[in-house]
Amino acid sequence: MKHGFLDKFSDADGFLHRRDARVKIVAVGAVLVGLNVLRSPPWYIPAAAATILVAAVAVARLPLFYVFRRAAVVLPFALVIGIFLPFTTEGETLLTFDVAGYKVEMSYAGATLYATLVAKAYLSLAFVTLLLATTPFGMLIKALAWFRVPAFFLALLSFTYRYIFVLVDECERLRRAWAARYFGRRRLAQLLALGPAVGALFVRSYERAERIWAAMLSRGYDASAI
Amino acid sequence: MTVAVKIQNLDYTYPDGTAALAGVDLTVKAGTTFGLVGANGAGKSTLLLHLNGLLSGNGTVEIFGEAVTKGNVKKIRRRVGLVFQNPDDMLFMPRLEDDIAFGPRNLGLPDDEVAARVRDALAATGLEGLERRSPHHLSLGERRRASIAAALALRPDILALDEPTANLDGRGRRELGELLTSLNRTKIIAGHDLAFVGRLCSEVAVLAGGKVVAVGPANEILGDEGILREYGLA
Repeated sequence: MKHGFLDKFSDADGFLHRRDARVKIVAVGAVLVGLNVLRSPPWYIPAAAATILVAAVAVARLPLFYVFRRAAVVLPFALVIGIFLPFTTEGETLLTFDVAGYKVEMSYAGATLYATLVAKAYLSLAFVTLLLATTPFGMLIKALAWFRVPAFFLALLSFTYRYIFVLVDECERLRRAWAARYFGRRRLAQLLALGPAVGALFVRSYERAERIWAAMLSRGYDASAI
Repeated sequence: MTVAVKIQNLDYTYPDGTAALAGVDLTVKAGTTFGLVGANGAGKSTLLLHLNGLLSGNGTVEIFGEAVTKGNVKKIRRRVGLVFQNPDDMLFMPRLEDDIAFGPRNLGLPDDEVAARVRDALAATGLEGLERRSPHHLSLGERRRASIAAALALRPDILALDEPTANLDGRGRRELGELLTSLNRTKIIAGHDLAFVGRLCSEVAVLAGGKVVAVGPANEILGDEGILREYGLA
């Protein structure tokens, strides 16, 4: 099976692709710190970040809206997490609702806080997506090693990246095998079958880990190095 | 004639109680291509894992006259290159060249020597130009050759392959055969692709129920319908 989510475009050749990975990591890191260091930043900070993002995407030679669409996955989480902020923050009243006889006040400051929280989450993920989409993963690992990120952490990151695709394939095979024998009835029984499927996935992953370990030892891997 | 592998009276039982090997005796001469055939579950993979000390059962395994012990596994693993059945188990780096460099780096070789070995292994397996690809972007045939390259980078004296033709199409099979023929060293090919084993190997052993039940010249063993049927190979 072929897939290329996560870093589908990282081998392309655009302006950002040709920049040194270390420079990109520092730049993205700086933006993330600037964006997130204040709990309630003035409006021009997220606005500036958004401007930088749009400009960077414009020169990145990525499919239109790719970065913006990918970053949207964070929205449901951010929207739900902050949902009570407009109602629990003290300040000048913006709107008043009548909920089952109770008067609920929405403050101006709270609404602003909520909006910036969502904006910060969305923009942060967009910048990370842009970094991943313009930097091959191997280069990213090498750059992180240059910054003295511990080898153990990098090994963990590489393995995750490498095997997430294998795991997704495994899931997809299980799902197809299930779908091939599913005829749209007895929904509850079908849901109950999910347990064993997840179990099978775990056992397969566990056994694969043992085989990978054996293959590593075969090529002289020294466990004490980490 | 130098002996590359000598196995005597090897027993191995898995922790769950499955007896995988029950008194295996086997001799592989240096420089030959040796076929290890047997039905599913005959013990082929278990036997291969003993060649470089990943498993150690009762009995002796000697590589070029040196018994495999706990103390010398590092040296043995440099001499015996194991190619696993599933390339995904061997290729775990973000880039192909890092995977091939994994073994040489573990040997502690200097960077230029590692680079030279990666180059040689890529050239020997016809994978030049793919070094910066990530393994999940390669075809199965390419990944199979890549896993052979990963083992070759250690410059082993013996190359042992577990089911190398599994799931390969006709072309993949033919190219793999040509590749293995071009590699000049002792080779052990385990599997039940009899046509493939017959084309490459001079000598063949049949494994069944954890024992070697027949051994001899490839054409004799593979031409014996009775043996093949009895041990689940035909």
